[in-house]
Amino acid sequence: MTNQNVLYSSKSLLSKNLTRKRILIWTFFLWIQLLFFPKQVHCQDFMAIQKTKKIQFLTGYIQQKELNLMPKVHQGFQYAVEYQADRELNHLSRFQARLGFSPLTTSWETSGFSANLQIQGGYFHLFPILKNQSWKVWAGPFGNLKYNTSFYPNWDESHLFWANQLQTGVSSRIEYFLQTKPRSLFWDFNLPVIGLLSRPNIERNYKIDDFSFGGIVKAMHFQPQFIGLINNFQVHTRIGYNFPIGKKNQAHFGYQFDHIQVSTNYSNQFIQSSHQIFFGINL
Amino acid sequence: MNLKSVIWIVFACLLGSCLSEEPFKKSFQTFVPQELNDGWELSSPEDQSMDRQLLEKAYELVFSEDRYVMARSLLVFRNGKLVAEAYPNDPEDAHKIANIQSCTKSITSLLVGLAIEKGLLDNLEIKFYDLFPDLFDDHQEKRQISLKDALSMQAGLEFDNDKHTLQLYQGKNNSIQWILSKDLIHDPGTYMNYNDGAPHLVSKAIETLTMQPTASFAEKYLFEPLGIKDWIWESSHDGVTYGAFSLFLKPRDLGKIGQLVIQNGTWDNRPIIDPEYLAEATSTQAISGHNNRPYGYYFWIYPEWNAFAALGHGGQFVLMVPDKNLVVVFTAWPYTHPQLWGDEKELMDLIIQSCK
Repeated sequence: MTNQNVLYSSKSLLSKNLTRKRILIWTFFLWIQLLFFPKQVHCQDFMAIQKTKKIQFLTGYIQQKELNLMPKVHQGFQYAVEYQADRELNHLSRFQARLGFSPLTTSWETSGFSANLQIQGGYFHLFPILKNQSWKVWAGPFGNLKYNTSFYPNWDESHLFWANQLQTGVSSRIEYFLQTKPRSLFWDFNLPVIGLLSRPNIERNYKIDDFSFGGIVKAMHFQPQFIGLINNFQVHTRIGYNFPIGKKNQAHFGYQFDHIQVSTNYSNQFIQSSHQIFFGINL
Repeated sequence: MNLKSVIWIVFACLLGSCLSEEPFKKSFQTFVPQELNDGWELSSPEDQSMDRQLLEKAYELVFSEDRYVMARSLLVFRNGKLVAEAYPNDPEDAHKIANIQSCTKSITSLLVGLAIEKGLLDNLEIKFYDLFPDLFDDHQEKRQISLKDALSMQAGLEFDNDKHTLQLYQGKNNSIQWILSKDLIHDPGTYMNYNDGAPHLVSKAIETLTMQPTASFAEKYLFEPLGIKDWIWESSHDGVTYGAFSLFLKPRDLGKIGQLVIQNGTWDNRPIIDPEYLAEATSTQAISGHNNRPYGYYFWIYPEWNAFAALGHGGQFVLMVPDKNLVVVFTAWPYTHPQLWGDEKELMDLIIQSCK
């Protein structure tokens, strides 16, 4: 049943998938294990607090399939800006915020373009696993709130489609320091494990029918559903190179790959994959 | 790890993670229907006196040509049997309900015939004002709008789908009062204006006459007798079932609706729809100013085929040819690029010609 319009439906459509609950329980225990594992190998060498703030610009190629609309790939260039604040003591705390925009098209799009907008904020709490002259390895949990919304104005069902989620999972960061410090190579890897996902209801003529601010906000959080690794496979990873610019400042560049593949029991699958290069500087 | 290795890993990631550009349609294999135990008796073109080659040509057209790129299903029923079916995009579409868009209007029309059959309605001249007087404004002439006027899209109210349909969907207030507040720009019964407002008034009339939501009335007296189990029908915020759109059905169940119509409203020898109403609903009541096509009560008339059809946005099409005992169902993804729209003629010609 929708929370907006009255919907009459047959009873057979309202059955629930019980196996999904088992998957959620399994992924929850996995997450707990991964959360506490780093503490067992906790590194004892304390050091002074290191704070860094970074801004990054990303651009690349994004592809997505919104199977509520049609089984066709929309693709185009992606542009994003990201802010990152790190606080490193005996563990690494990281706050990250991102705003991204992508004009997308298909070969069937005869004029104009569709668009994808991403707004997200996340917090990472990583524990040290290994620290020496050459290596720093961190791992731990993270939480992330992501609004991932697309608009397809050229299509008949040209309404907003979204895959918004609040998620938590495991993250790791590996940094290898080159001999000529402070140059280093790094690899970040994030694997969301469980979360809440909101998708548009496919069984509605208009996916969003109230375009007031309140109506859009309500629709963007429509029927949040618990998701686990099976119906929410996501990988976010980046590799990069840190190097000094001038005497005080640092910069970095690299490659980032994001892939999400999500669905709910009231909505078809959404797949999004993007390859980006980034360049950033410490503020 | 040297730089060369890193480059190779990145390159492999780039190649391996590109989303596959799936074709909309699979290649055509067969139109032999599958047994789904949904009440349809299966048959073959030969057993129903149909030319297999012409039928294959029709299916190949849908599977191969870009103008039918949005096709989701094509089903052919003859003599009450399912002769051919194929789902160009995904075989699973056979099991999925989908929005039949404005084909919903034809089902709303059938419910009026059902109300007559049940003795809940005497004639179509009844005025909406007699059914729900509280919802009318002070405009005296609007009180003359009859059920017949709304069924033939001649209510005379200024309802423009391009700007009013979404508002009807969004509206939080009384949807009937909102439609009736539109200006009366033509005398009732004089000018056909195809729109989504009039069927909503008809749905309210059915609700008033049957004292239950239109969707519930349909479930008990139309869907259940036909064995239609999976369906959804949306309503406006004030609970009135949309008479014009938002009914979701499976393609095979849409075929049952078509079969019911060409069987003069009977199913398993039980009368469901009043046959006199059905004859009236599928004969010319108005001419569309847009395409000069004759129109009945929410059925489009095709004199060139001696047929009538339920049409829906994006290419949904249920063709009913009584003298050939033929029903054709075509459903599609919603997209109305001019190249992909209005191409039913060649396809339907082939299927009709295949009937010996």
